[in-house]
Amino acid sequence: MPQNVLSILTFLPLVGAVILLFMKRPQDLPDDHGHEAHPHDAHSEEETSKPAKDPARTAICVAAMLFAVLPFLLSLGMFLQFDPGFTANMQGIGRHIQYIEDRSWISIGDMHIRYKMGVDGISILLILLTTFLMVLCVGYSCRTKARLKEFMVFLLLLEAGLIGVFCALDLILFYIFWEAMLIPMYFLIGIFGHERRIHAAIKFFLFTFAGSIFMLIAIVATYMIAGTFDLLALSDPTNPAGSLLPNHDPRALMYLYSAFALAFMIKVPMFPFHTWLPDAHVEAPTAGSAILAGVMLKMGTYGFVRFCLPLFPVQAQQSAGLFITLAVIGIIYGSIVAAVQPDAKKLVAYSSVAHLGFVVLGIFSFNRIGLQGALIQNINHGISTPMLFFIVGMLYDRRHTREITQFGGLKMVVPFMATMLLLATLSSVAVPFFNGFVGEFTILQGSFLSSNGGMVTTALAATGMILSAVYMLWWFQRLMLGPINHAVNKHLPDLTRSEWLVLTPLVVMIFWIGLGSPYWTSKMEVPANSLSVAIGEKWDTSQPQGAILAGAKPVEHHEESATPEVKTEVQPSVTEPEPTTETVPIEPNKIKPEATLEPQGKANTPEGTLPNSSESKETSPNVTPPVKNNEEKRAEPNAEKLKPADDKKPKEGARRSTPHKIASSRRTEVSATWE
Amino acid sequence: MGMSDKLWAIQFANLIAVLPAIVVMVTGFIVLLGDSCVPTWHKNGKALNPAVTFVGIAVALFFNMTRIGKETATAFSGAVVDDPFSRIAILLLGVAAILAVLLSTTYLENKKLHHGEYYVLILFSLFGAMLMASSNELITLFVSIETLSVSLYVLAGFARTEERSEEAALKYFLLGAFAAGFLLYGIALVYGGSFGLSPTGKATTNLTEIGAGLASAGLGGVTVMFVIGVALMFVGFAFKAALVPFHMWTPDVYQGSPTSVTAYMAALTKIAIFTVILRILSVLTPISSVWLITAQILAVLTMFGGNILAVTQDNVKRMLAYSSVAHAGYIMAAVVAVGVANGKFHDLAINATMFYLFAYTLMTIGAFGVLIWLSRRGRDCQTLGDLKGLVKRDPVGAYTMLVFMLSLGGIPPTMGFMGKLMIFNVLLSAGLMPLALCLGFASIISVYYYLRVVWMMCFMEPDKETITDHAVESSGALFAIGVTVVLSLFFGLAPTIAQNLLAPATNILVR
Repeated sequence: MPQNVLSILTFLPLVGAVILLFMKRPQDLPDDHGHEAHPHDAHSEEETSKPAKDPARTAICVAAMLFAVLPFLLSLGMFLQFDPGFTANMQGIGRHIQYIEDRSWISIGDMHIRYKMGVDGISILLILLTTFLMVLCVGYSCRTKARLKEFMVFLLLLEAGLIGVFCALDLILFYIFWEAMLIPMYFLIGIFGHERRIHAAIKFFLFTFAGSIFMLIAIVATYMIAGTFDLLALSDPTNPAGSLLPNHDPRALMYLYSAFALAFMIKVPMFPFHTWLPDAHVEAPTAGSAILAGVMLKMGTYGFVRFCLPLFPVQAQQSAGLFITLAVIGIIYGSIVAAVQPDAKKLVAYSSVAHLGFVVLGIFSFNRIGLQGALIQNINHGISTPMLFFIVGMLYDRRHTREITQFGGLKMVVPFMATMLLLATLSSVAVPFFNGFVGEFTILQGSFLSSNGGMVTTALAATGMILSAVYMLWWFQRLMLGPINHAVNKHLPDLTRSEWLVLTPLVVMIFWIGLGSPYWTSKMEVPANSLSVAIGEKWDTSQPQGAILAGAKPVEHHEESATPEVKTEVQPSVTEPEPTTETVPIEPNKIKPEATLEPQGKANTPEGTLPNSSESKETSPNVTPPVKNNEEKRAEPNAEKLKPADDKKPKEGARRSTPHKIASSRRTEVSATWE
Repeated sequence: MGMSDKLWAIQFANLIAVLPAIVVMVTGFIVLLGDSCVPTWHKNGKALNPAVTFVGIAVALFFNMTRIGKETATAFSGAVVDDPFSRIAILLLGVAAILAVLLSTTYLENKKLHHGEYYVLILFSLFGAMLMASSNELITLFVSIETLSVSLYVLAGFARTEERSEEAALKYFLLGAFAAGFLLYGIALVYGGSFGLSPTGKATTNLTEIGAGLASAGLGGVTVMFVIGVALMFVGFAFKAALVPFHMWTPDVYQGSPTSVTAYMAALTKIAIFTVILRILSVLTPISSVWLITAQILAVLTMFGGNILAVTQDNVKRMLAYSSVAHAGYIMAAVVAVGVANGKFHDLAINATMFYLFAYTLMTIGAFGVLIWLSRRGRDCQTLGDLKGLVKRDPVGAYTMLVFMLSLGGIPPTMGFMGKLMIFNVLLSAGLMPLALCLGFASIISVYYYLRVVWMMCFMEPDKETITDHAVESSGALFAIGVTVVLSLFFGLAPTIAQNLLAPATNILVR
């Protein structure tokens, strides 16, 4: 891989967009239905006799496809070459970041902005998801009738922005991608959307902008405190910049954290800020909805994971209650509102609110199970929801309506499409064997084990899983089962070849993640674990919970490391009873690693059963056994020596009390990485 | 060396200090005399007048650029100062004027307004603006402000057959005269109040002496008369800069004036008046506790007033007028920071102000330039309806306008974003967090109406109202728009270059 592979990856779609700009503009195809608001112009009547094949159309499609496939192949290559256990010789969550590119870029005022890009396991999965979905979106969108060229240009611009967001390691660079990406999406909704597209587009833009302008202020304020925009330095407690930030006035830090969190909450979107989402989803063209749900919402959760938690761990801990409450409200509210939607697309949109609520719940569980569940659920939602949108889009293309009552009994007419929809629905409902199950179950487990979550929260969130079964299955039933009530539906064509090509990869992914999740979780396990330790996860100091993850293997991998006195001090803490998570009375000997998937799957079905200790084993297939690069981590002997100091400080309250202590405890915890 | 030689040397040094302004003024006289007295010139005036104007301004800028890093000098007994700050300001003014001249030619032809006086007035107003930037003495300042203003009053009414243009000129003149009264009265009071402040003990209108007096006397040595004088002066400045609540003239004048004049006026007056405000506030830094709060309130009122009023406008020129009010508020916010902590953030504030003025110049002239480009014979492009569905008729025009709208809204990757980032930087450095938050809120409002233009252009279908063809393709306008759009994007991605270009401005003669 070349040194600047991330820049190439980011700007390849941009180059594609520019090339497309100079290509011949294909003639708009006639709109074959009376859909007045669709952007077809006054000439469409004359064009009805036009032949279906237009070489300019084909050229645009081929070029756009080329510039969607190239980044995908490149990111795939990166993904395969990627070292999931990579750890640089530094501290902070940034030590797992690879393919780093770093050059000085802008200095204005007294600010120095760097062009710094890099990926770790968390972001590379999202990049891969982006490029993967973009190939499907371009493939799907070749059917766009009006202004095809612009559509493809905006899609490629959007891709560049999205990849940039997931690569950027400089706060301003991140912000630039974050904002710049709004513009192509604004156009995609505004030009190619449905009846109320302008309203939806402006609402989408204003909501996001309103959140992010304050994030910009917070970014600048962070610079005032720490003197750098470099995320790696800021999140590294051994770095001068990284030690300045957590030692700052906690109240000011809380404001900064709130500004960041607000931007991400709006983007996710979390409960009170979700109103832009149904509008944007419903009005956007199919590919736009797919990207919006599949990737753009993930920018919010990614923002929490990449910026909020590493930069403001204490504030994140303090606000966890609020976020978990909002997440649970979002899950239940989103599910209930989704159930009553008459519009098929709006139902999927509200289901996103619920699903993203799960992701936030997982993140704010602040333990590795919750975090890993959230991150894998990010990907799952990015596969199942675009698939739902694609199929709803296909139905819309056939019938020009999204009203659920207009359908029914389609199973007989379009059996393959019905099968695909069923698969997507089951994935969204989180049925075992499907990818959604892996994510949501892990999240619930994480939240159950977390001191932030606990039993009641998890129980409430778990009702979301029941509700999702209710609204999704009912939705499927109304669309596909029963008698055919409308005569028009009797002759709908089944999946075309291009539609097969769009849906099949998604089905493959659903089952690959559903059945082979360790392959995917192993990619982001190391950074997720480091992060959960960095934000104050307690349980690497106690055996039981550690055992859950490592396949009942206790902390012994420390044994050959460092000095004997370290070992002696580690040992007692291992035997200590569980210190923090009061809701989880798990005994180590109860946990057997040879548990299988099936029984837990049943335990998790709609009765809302809470995960019990036997279920905790569940995640063991999700999480790979100990990482190989122990040597690298042991290359930090003084960090290992610091570990005992952490063990002597078991109470959470003590940690929160003074910033200095926090900084030091963070440092020790970070170094005592989970292995 | 004889006595007369010495006098000559002094005179020469004096003239060198204001050389760019003199070049501009002399060019103005050449165009005036040539167009009215030389028949062949008059016959070829359409090409010759703008060409000579262009060359004159370019020569002035050349002289200016050769001196940009040189040391500060004062001239005419300290009435005029030639410091790097004023040179940078002159550079910006010259760029604005050149762009405006390029935009004017075809537009004036279309409107049948192609008279030589237009360029003469452009040059005279530029002369006034350049002198404003170098004034170091209040009477000189007043005279130069009036030179600028009177030329602009005439330019505003230049479309003699249009009622709105006449109304604009009259309104601008009446309110401007009123504001000039405040300014002059304020100067008189400051003169009186400066008695005992200056080291010589005499009353003075010289800013250097006032500054030195304030620095030594501090807040305790300042009389009420002086403070009232400063306040009245600022009423005058606020009028020129269109700060709320002294902005009433802006929408009517911007809408009524020929669009090329609007573009010129919007950029030129903002640059000139903010350099003056910056210079005077730098002088007043020792008594910043007197004006800091008021100036902040003014900035907040302006950014919210401008943005809220712009939301409902259907006329793009009027909308851009209110938007220029809002931008004056943003710039004012940055300017305020010079007074914080005894001038500790002086350099940052000047940097941010100059950068934002440059960005504002490019995007405002660019936005008006697109309107000019779309105008055709007998029909000005002004309303949102004119722009409806433009992307179908003229995609390049529509997407160019998009860049300016994004830049005005402060959305990356444009220069407007970098400017806003710098203002945030200076505000947070100086601890003016409330001001930064207000700027944030105001920006959210502004994005709505900038995007409204975009959705009119790109999301709507064209109808009968939409501007279709332009009667005359204007290469000058095309060039000006091209330059502004390229620079708006380029400096959005590489703002360091612009920043380094403007950086000498921090070297300002204060005391």
